[in-house]
Amino acid sequence: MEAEAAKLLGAGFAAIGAGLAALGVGNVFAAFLSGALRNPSAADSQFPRLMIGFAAAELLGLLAFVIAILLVVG
Amino acid sequence: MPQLEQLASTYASQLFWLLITFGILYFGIARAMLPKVGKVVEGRQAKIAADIASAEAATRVAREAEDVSGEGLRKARAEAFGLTAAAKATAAADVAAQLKVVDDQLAAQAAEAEARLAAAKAASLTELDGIAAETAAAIVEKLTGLATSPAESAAAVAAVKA
Amino acid sequence: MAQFEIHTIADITVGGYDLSFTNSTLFMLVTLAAIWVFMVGGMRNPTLVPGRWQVAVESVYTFVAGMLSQTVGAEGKRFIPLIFSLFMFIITANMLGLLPVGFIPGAHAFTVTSHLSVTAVLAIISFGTVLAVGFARHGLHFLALFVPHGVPWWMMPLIVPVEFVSFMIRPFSLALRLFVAMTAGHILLKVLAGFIVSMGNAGGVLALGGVLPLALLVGISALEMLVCAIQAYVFAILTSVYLNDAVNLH
Repeated sequence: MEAEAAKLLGAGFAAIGAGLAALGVGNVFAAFLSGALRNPSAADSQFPRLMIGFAAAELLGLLAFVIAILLVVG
Repeated sequence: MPQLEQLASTYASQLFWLLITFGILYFGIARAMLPKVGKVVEGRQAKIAADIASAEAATRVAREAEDVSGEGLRKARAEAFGLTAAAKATAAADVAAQLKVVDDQLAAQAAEAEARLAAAKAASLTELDGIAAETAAAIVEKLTGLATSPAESAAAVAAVKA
Repeated sequence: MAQFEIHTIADITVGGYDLSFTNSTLFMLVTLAAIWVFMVGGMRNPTLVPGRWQVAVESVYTFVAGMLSQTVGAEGKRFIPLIFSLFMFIITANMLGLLPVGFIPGAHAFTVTSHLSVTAVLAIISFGTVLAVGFARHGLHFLALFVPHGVPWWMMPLIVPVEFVSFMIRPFSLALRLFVAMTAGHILLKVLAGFIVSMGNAGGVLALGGVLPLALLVGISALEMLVCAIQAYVFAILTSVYLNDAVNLH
């Protein structure tokens, strides 16, 4: 296999990580929503935590994206 | 990725200009202007709080005044009620007394009138006896041609009446 | 990828360092000017009953102040200028990068925050403040941050390195998150825009099909604006959470 083809394949595999991060982000918001619907009065005070959780989950997806981009153009 | 390829050649310029712009932003805008914004915001909150407090105080004063005036009103009403009741009682007593006087007068007049009526009745009854005796004497004279004395006819009427 | 390239506008070299005035510099100054206009316009003559502009400025202030008082507490008031600067700089730079100035020939929008060198400096400012505040307030006792309460002593050799690594990784995650989120969003927009162009070039019925990626592009642009705001918010909230560690030591 040529090195170029292997890089492109690797980039494609790395992009899977972005999809997995999507699961994580969706899970963060789903859990927040179900909690917020049970106790709406406490929801607003937990918004910063929601964003921190979202940021933590999203960072890993963005890392996968960086790997993919580096393999394609780097 | 130009960000990484150009990193070595541009980092000095990026760092220098970012520190300058961020420094101006921090010291020239944030440090200089935000206290003013904060003062305006806090001033408004303080004003709102003070206004609400004074409004609450005014409400309390008004409620107290209302209580006081309500008390006075109740007292005045009770007083007026008492006065009215007393006036009503005296008026009723007055009326009763006057009524009694008038009643007595009327009763006296009625008794007098009754007495007069009884006397008149008795008088007319005796007169009736006389008329009856005369009539009887006239009838007897017409039928028999005998003259009767008034005493005889009166005795006969009395006998018939008995 | 051309949208991320830095072009030199005016060459400036000081002491062997290349401090050229670049398009990145230009957009930093535009960001600064936009924030300045926003602040000065809103606070020109502040009134008790605010106008729209004043409300906008005040709501940014109360937003930052509320965020700090929620995470740090009463002592967070001191850090309002820092968090405000970070938040406003990032959100304004992000939004300016989305401006469609490309329709002016020769002009290109440039997103300052899509450069690792810029986001790294911002992250170092944030992290450096945390370190400075922590050591200034607590001295060496600040290192107790790595020793959580209620952990049995024999767990310490495992927990302390983990806490240390998670602490040291903070500036990298701050810088990398902002840089990658901006880069990825802009690349996504560019790929979608490329679809429209290639559909148009295909000609005939296919050219009409270019409406579909256009509609998608409009939606993704709105999403990208949301991401711009969220990234600025996340940077600000994470900085204030880290400041809370420094001020209150857990």
